[in-house]
Amino acid sequence: MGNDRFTQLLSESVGEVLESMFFTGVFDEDASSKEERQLIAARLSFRGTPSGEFGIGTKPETVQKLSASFLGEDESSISESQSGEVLCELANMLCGSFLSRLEKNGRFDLSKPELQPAGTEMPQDCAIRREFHSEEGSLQVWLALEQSA
Amino acid sequence: MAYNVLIVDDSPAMRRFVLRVLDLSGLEIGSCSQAENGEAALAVLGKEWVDVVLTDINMPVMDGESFVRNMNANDAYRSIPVIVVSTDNTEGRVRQMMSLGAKGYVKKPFLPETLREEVEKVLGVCHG
Repeated sequence: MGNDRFTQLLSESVGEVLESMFFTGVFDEDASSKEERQLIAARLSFRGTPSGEFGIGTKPETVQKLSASFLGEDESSISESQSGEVLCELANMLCGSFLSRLEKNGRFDLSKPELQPAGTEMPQDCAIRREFHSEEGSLQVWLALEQSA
Repeated sequence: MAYNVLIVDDSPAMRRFVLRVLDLSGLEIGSCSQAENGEAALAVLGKEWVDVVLTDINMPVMDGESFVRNMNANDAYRSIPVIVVSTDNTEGRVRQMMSLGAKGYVKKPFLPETLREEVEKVLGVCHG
């Protein structure tokens, strides 16, 4: 399967998750810039066919806004721990949505998403690396696949 | 009639989102209990009256599949309707959970009205 297909499925997943559960839409998408930024990131691994890693990263202020939308609360009342939980849940939903589109009849086991230290770099060998833009800010999404033996 | 709900998910954020959706749904909610995995949920069921269970699948300690199996193996819990709320939208998983006894399946991401409709369906809530 080519990267174009992966990119298309990823775009569909990001659009659906942000619209239905974060009440915001993606208005632009591009290949992710490689400039160094202090991002908060969450990543998880998945086992199945294929297996790999999935991650998302965004600025602290963006995850604060997304958390407020998701939890239905004021931004000012969102704690750091809550925004971390929401980022992990966002990663979980995006990965699940993407894999379900990729293999409707497949079976995947997803690990629990983990927050990554600020400044964590994305894997260099990503199959896909995209940046999505919404009113709340930008969201980087990456996908790395294990090479089959 | 007010319904007592049990939300089972290892993500506190998702439990909160589901609770928010139920609050906004117009459905009359009596109590809303929460548990972070199947084992904790079984402990809640042993202590409290629950009308409907909403459970994730992928959880530590006891996952949703084992939880639903345990519920069905217990005469006291078998009749409580279970709705699975999961990111795993693959057809095989949906079939498996329904065959284990789940009465509904809501795929994450979901629209708030989708969850409300599923809860109303399994509870037999009629409008009008």
